[in-house]
Amino acid sequence: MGGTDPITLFNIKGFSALNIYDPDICKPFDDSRKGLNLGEGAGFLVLENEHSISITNNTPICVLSGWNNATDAYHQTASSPTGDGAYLAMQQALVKAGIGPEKIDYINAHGTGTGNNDLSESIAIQRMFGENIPKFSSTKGFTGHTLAAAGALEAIYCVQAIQHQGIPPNLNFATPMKETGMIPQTTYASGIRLDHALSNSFGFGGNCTCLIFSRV
Amino acid sequence: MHITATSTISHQPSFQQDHFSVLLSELKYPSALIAPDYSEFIPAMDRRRMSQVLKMAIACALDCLKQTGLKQPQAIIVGTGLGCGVNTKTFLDNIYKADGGLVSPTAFILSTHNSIAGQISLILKNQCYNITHTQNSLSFEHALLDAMLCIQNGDTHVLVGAADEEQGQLYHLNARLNRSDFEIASGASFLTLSTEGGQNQTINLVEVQTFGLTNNVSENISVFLSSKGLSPEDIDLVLYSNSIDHTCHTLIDIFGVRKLFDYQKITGIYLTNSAFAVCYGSNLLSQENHPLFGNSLRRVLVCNNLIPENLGLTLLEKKQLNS
Repeated sequence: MGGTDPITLFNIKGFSALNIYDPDICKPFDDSRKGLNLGEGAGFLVLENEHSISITNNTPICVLSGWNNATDAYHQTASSPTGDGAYLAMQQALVKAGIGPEKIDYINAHGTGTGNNDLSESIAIQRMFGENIPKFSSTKGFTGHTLAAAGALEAIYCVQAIQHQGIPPNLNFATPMKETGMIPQTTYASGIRLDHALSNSFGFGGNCTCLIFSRV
Repeated sequence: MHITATSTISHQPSFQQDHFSVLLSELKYPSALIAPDYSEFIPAMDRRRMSQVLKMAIACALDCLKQTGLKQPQAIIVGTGLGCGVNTKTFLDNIYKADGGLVSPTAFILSTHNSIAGQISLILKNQCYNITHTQNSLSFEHALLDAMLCIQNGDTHVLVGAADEEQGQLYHLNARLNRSDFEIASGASFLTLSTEGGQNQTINLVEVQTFGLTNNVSENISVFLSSKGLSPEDIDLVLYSNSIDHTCHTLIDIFGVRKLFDYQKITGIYLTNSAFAVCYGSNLLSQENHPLFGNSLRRVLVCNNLIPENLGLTLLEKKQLNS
């Protein structure tokens, strides 16, 4: 399973028309963020259940332990100020994974770098994790927003984070946003114990998806 | 699991007609969508910016919920082959016309395939599972499979449907689909799936299966039926679509010519017209003393072979309950 998307004039014009396209480099979670960058890419993962593994003898590199899709039901393109969709996605993914929020070691945020998304997602993360917010980063400073591929790409970064016990940094961050004061991981963090990583991906229509990856 | 409501907008007088299966006739050129007055379902502000595919999907979705008395489904699942391509075309036209200048984002934000399910959630203020499946001519069957998984995983009420609209700009690309005697058409069909059925009788969605790159429809059907312990004699009616006559001959060999009905004669061609067939089959099964079938129908198989290499099979069954 996976996703792919190229850069198109259609999308550049679309996000520009919405005033959420930053022609300069994006700054996820920074107070001065102005919008997203578009990227292009593709990512694919192979999912197998126990029965399949008993036949293929493949060695699992990670476990998809939790997943959920929820809807913000607020606006076709903007996220709600309360981050309902993102909160519900994370909450139910944790329920499916059978773990509490304190078990999450890393969040790969949706973190597009738009004023609206990063604030809404930050508020959802605060609602979910309270005072004990795990290390988090948006990797879109490296890739831009790869749209339909982003969920797959960022799922792979979470798998890699668990495999290598390291956290990819959030680029271009300088100043915490005044509403939340949240500070992402800005340097590569290595040598940390990382059992569970959570990946957020949101889309038009208020669609919010959360995946949780766990160490084998 | 039970089908507890169906709602379909098509080129036939099917919307909000309890017994629409007796009102159908073969499409004659040129036919048009029989659209209801959408003002009952969608606020004027929203209606103005919505393309036909959004409006008809929302109307069907809301009609299904009204029939069941359900306020909020636990999942909204939509299949669409071409989604909101009309808005995609509009936005591209606007970019071209603006010649580097500013364009309005309206068409862009409603251009994604998931706009249909997204707009239904917005109208309902529903925050549950919301998914769009776009799998060419098997989009609706994949939505149905997802809906069945939701029920199997504990949901009790799920809204599932499909919508596609005729898109003029794609007409020349549709040659692969279009037999000369069928019309490119539009339609939306939704249904509610539930763990609870009716009091006296219930229509069950027994099984859905899809086959990609198939080259043996006969064997696919045989495996499908035997997986449910059934043989072709157990099927009372086969609603089928095909773009080549070959499939029809295969189905005649399996079921005999008298059990076959080509639903494209009444729906026209669009990538999710099998959703109409499932609503039609459900409507036929739910009727007592149907003018054509009497009470003889117990099992209806929808055989979607619109594109020769894609096969979707959906089995419906009527169950009488002892109450």
